[in-house]
Amino acid sequence: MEDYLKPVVDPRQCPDEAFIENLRQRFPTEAEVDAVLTRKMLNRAKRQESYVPVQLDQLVECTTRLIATKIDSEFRLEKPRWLSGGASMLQMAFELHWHGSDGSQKELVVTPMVLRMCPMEPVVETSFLREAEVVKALDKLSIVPVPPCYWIDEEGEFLPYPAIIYGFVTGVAKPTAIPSKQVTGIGLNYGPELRKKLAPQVIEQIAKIHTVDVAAMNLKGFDPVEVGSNESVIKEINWWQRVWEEDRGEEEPLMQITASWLKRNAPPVDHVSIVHNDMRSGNFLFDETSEKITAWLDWELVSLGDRHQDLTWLTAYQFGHFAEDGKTFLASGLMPTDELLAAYEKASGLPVDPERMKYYNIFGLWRGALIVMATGYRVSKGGKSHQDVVVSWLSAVGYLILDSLRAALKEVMK
Amino acid sequence: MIPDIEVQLQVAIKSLKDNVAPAVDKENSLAQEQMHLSLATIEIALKHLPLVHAYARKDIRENLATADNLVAVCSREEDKAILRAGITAAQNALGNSELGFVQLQAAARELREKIGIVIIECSSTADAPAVEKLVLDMCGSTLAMARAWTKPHGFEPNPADVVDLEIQLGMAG
Repeated sequence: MEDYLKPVVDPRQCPDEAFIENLRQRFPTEAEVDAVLTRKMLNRAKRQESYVPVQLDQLVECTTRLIATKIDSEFRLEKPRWLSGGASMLQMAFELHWHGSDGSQKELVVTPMVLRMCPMEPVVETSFLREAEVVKALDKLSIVPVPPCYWIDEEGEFLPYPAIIYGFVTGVAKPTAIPSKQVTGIGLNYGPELRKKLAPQVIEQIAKIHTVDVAAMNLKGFDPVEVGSNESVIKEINWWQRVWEEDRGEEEPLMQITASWLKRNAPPVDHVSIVHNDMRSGNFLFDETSEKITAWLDWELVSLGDRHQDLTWLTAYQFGHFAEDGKTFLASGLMPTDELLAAYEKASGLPVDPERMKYYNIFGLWRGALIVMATGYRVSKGGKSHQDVVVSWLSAVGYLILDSLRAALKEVMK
Repeated sequence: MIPDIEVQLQVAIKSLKDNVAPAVDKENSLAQEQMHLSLATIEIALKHLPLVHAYARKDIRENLATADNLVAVCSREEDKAILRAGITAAQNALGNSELGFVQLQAAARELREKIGIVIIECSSTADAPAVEKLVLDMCGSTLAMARAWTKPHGFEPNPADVVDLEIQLGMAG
């Protein structure tokens, strides 16, 4: 009997130990990434049921139990409420009435906080350990504004699923009033006045993130990255190739040839940077009165490696738009790409290499398509989140990205 | 009885639009967004229902062309054998008029799987450049179909650039 006439058995939906171990061996990656992906697959094998909505009361109770293991003094949670936004995480805002992290405050003080919890399976499965490590280190160094990171429940010991607790930061991701209707494009539009204020801050702060002394930060959740070697780049490609093999609903030959091209052409790292991996407009908050950036958000994909990974994403077509003149493209709605990269070079003292920009553009397109087409499909198919219909809808953008990837590959494979 | 799935979907859409959507709490942004997307998803499914069979058949034909060309490019017998097995099964599927679209989808996936295996097997051999160039040259038509399929989702910056699915499938008016 032909295979297509047999009942469909999907090893990715019900993975056994041999399937999981095979992928671990085929795609060696960083130790923490390996741990997170292995946990994802073991949990998928265990949890064949769909995601059941979590109630606010349940989250308050679980969060209270988590915090009780972290601080010794009296505390209470008040004013819990859902926060909207984001296709991946569930978010609950609340007030923590406590005596401070070391219990030294005589009177109870009030700290607004946000709990971010994964659904049963998020569209990107990442390490809260790594995220918290980097955000805490950046906060301590005070080089860029980040939300204070308090506690994590890495394996969902207290909460239904893994979670992280941040301090609540004020600010907006986009202007509350639409600044201009004369622009075209899909990127976030700050308007001509605000973008003049924000662009220099964005460039200066990204330069600081990329030039921080990573070795001195002692980040245990990351494998060391060596200058002059492309080993870390290969590990990152393996990370995402493994995700493709864990989650995809069908094979896409273009994804496989891209993975091979990326591996063969992986450039050695010339400087080890903290790479945010979702660096773009919309992922920082600013105060509308002072026009100052108040926090950089969404650190879940953070890695150590090549700054060009962030620079290609920041200047990607989908996050920009055309200015009021209808012809000047503004990267991330901030500045013309050439000007932005020149200002970045000046601020960071690091060169922007056009060949690496091409390489990481292909990497970013490949990974973007992979996340929506493979994991987006798998989450929707299993009914694994509170946003299945949104995730499924977003997966439709995958083929547009894939066609852009085809064009970019044609350029380099002439 | 002749089952009419189109009518079933059509009544579900009307009910959701006329009676359910207006009753959803205006303050509940999660429910509002999901109501809107659920409706749009069912509407797109209804629009695509008459095309799904032809889509699966064309996907098989396009991938058969890729697999045929790959046989000529691959030098190793084991890779040719994998491809030939996939080609035979896919041709049988196309030749079997009793297959429904779910079985055709499975046949298309099976062929894509075989092509993927050969790309991986060849990636560290001397065949790799020719194999990869061929896949790159030939994937345009399946991507054009997929972009047309997902065009109603509204992500295309210039929708007019994407040829309608009915035209690509030879089913236009």
